Amino acid sequence: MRSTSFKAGVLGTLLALLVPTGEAFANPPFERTEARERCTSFVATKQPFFGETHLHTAYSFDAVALDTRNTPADAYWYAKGGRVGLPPWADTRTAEDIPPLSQPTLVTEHPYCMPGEHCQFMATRTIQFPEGRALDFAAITDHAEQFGESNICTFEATQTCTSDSDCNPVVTGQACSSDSLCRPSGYDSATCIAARDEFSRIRQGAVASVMAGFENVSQNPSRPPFCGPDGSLCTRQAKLVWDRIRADAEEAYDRTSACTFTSFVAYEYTAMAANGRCADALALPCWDAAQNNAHPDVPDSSAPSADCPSGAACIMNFTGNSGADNLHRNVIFRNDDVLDQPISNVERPLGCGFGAACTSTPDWPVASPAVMLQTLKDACIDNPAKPRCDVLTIPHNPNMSRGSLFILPDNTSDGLTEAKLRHQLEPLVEIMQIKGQSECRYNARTGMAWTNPPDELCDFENQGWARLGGSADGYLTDAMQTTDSIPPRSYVRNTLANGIAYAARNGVNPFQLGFVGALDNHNGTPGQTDAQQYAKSGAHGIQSFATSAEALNERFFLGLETNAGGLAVVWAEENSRDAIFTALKNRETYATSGTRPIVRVFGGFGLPADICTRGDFAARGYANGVPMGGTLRGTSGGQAPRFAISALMDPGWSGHPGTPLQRAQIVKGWVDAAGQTHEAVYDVAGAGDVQNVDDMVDLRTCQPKGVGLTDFCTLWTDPGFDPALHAFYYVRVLENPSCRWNQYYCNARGVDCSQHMGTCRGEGSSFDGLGCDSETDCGDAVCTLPDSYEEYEYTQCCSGIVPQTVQQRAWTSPIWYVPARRRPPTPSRDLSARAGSQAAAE
Amino acid sequence: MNEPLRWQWLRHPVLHFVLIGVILYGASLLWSPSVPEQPPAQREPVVISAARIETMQTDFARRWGTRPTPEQLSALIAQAVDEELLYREARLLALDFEDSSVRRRLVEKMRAVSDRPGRSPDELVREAHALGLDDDIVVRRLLMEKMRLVLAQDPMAPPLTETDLRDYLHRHRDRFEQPDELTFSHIFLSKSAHGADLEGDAQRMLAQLRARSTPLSVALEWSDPFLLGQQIRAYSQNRLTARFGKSFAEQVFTLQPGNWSPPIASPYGLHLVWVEEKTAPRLPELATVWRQVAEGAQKERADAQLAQGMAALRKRYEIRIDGRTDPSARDAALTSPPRP
Repeated sequence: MRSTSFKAGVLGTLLALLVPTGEAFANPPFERTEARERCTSFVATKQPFFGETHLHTAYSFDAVALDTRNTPADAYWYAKGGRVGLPPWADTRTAEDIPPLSQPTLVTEHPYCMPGEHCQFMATRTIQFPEGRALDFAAITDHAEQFGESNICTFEATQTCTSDSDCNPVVTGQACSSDSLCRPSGYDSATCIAARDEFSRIRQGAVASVMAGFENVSQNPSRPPFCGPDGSLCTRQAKLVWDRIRADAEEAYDRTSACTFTSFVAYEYTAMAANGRCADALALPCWDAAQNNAHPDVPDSSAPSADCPSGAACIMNFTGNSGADNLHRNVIFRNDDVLDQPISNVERPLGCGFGAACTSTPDWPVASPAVMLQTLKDACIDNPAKPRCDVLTIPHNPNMSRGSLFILPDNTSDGLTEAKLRHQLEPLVEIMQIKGQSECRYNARTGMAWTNPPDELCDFENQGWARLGGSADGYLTDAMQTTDSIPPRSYVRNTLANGIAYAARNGVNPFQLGFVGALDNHNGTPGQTDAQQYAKSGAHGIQSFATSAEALNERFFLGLETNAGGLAVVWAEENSRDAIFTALKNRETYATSGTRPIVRVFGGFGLPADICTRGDFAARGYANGVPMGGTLRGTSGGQAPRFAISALMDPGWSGHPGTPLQRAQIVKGWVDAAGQTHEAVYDVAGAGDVQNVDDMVDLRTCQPKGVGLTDFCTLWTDPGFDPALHAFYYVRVLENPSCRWNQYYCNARGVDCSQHMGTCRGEGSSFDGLGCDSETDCGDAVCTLPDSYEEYEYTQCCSGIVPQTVQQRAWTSPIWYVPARRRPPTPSRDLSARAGSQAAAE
Repeated sequence: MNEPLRWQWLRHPVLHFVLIGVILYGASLLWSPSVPEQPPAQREPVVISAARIETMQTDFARRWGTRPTPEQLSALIAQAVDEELLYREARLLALDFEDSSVRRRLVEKMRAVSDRPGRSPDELVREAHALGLDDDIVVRRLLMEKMRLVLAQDPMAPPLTETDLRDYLHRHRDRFEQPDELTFSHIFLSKSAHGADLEGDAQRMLAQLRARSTPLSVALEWSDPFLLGQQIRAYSQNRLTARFGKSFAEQVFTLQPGNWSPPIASPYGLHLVWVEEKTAPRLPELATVWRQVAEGAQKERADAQLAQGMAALRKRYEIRIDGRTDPSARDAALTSPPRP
């Protein structure tokens, strides 16, 4: 791997010479780093694979705290089409259930059984993909910070003992507790007892959150006392969990020539920016773990904060602005040659960025991943002891980062080093997940736009929570949602523009981000993006919508403003780790908001005019251009690039037809000679004129109706091209409107908005039997509501404030245009690396 | 030298050995009466009483909402017999001696019933034995589990060889076999492009294809462009279902190679399909599934060993089942597979 970039550079040059002959894709397409059978279904011009890149299971403390029992093994089983359980569980434990001596466990397995079977925990709800909707690949990404803590606090003992030595403490870290069962040291700590007590009663995961409040922050992260003075008790348990995660991934991976499923070893790096302010004149950034928010702009306690040099207290209760900047990243490894232990926020917290001095700069968050990325690079990619190790990280939810996820590096050589690091290790961004989309933002009710010109289609799955978590006053109502409270760089379109502006000036693009969509669900059910199922299952264990009246509450953090989540689609030669990882690294990917249209894009100066009408779309696309995620370099002729876009609608499944496509758009961003960024959205296929929603979907059954495109192909040439300016182009494909999940919820609850909510009841009253919405409609009679739903639900379902339909969509990774002349001075090695990645994409 | 030859045999070592042997044997005969003869293991008959059977039936009814069928009842009885055999044999082999789980259970129970807390665990265990508290549902479960492990082990068995694994792989084709894969070319008629003429156009094209026996490469040029290409390579039925829908996948998988199919509908339009190749079901290389095969073979061997052990146990005990005097009925009840 060491010489990869050099080799790729040489290869890239050779390929560039071969391109006109159209043979580029016939060369070995990706480096093979593992021992496995070749796939029979290998296709040199690549095929689409649907997958998951972000998912939590019972090995995440915040998921097990919400009563999720699915482990990574269960999650992979679900991804492959198997049936798994969801909470609540029928707990049938008795005092006489003692686990057999023969199977001591190091990592809790959280076993359960299906309805009808008999065991200690029986699932009361189950879930399974419809036929044909299983995933092709999945990466399970549990929170690495609490691997050990979670295993210690929630361990389910399986081995009896009379003394510590029975528990083999050197290997297991377990001791013989007072009830003669082997458990990890720390199980009986006050923190763990509080955590378990809370799980068993209110199941809000508060203790897990508080623990994350100490461990996931960029300022002085610390492990709880039960981890021991150096934290080693927890890191040792974390290693056991990590080994288990690796084994589960290996078990799920299909190494046969059938290539039916690919798993990835992965974890989530769960960092949050310090975002309090010291209560002194400097107001430097700090972190207050308590976050009581008792009084606006007053510290919760006068205790000096470790983060404030003056010894002042930390204020972290700015009204309407509390919470934490989400700076999470999913870390995905190429193969089974991985780190011995994950690098979490506790080991490598966020810092100031290379050369920056954010901790002494007011209003500047501590939010740079540079040190973590460098450590990851040293420990994996550049580590001679791990010759096959390769890794990438995918940031998610910039929409909840208050702009902190994509702060530009400095215009210094240190800043440039950071920019290169991010360019190399962060090729993708998760643009869509259950906590909203991050492409762009628009609020139709206030007309507030985060793009220029306003883009109405950005009014889609937006969050009123501009930051992660926090108390209810962190929720921004429509009027509070401004470009001040939600900085524009919280959105990917603006970030892409900032990236090319930086590249135009410094030669390196720190934010050359392709797109994936994902779930971030905490149920252990990867790829479960179906709206109808989401209306029942929700995404957060016991706080499911089937058991919670909070589903329609927008201020409930996990309620109305969440959605069923997105999917990642990669174009790869075959379904193997090497092929899919290479596609992720080369950004030959697109994100969907959960449905499964198939979209393919090529950009190039020489794309033939008949590419859509004569077959061989892919072969001719590769021969004459670059695929999504690639880079076009300016030609001396200065001609405008063409973009070929071809799509198929989601085929749906038996009894559930897919929704036809409405149109395709190209979003172009560019930076002018003065460094100013611009953007434009072009309709390039399909009908832009909007039909009546009622003509396209039946709101009672949610079946699609009316016309739309089942497939299309179009070739578009940029009418406003300037060969001297950096630019990016990405494609947005929109489906016809379909039911949002809350419409399924309302239908399932029996709410019919075409009828009055209730019925007047009154013996002998002239109003008896009439429809009513309140007592005043019934005169002397009483307005009785139906048994099946509540007034609140009727209001939410029928007021029109909550959207009943959405336009599901796909976003393809951008194609970047880099001008040919006046190439900025950059180290030659970096240029060869980028030429290499472009060539590999070809 | 002048010693008479006829006495020389007295010096022969063989004689000395024989004599020593005789003396030792005599001594052993003299000594043995003082060591009590090890009594042969007493194996009382295993009896499943009518009352026990009735309890099984009511338990079953409570859990499943219906009384067991005769087959289910036989299985329940066989299971009860097996468990009793395992427990008895475990006690006979003293598997509970110094067992920490059993000990813990006894201490726990004794603490619950004893009026004098704070005594040493050893004392509690002794007293529990004296009170007969060791015949206990948990202790039973622990001992049965332990006995199963003892029976399933075969310390003399040679390690599994590659041949064994290969043999296992071939005997479990259904578990390891790769799904059938289909490679086909298709002429696609887009619903969007053909509109109302879709069906008619497809039929006309099919008639032409069949009449002229057009070469495949020429025929494919009649197709509307299709994003996934004109040739669909090595698709399993699952994958075909995912991309083209269930009905399309089912129809295409019934086609024979070397013919143009009638128009087959997908969500995108109609397809005339020419199957090129259908792979025969095949087994993966042993190396790629080594771990699963090794685990399976290991388990198979342990199961067989356990079954053998159970069969031997059943022979050692007299088994009586109330109401089942007919030996064939009793045997039927006992030949139900043992619980794994």
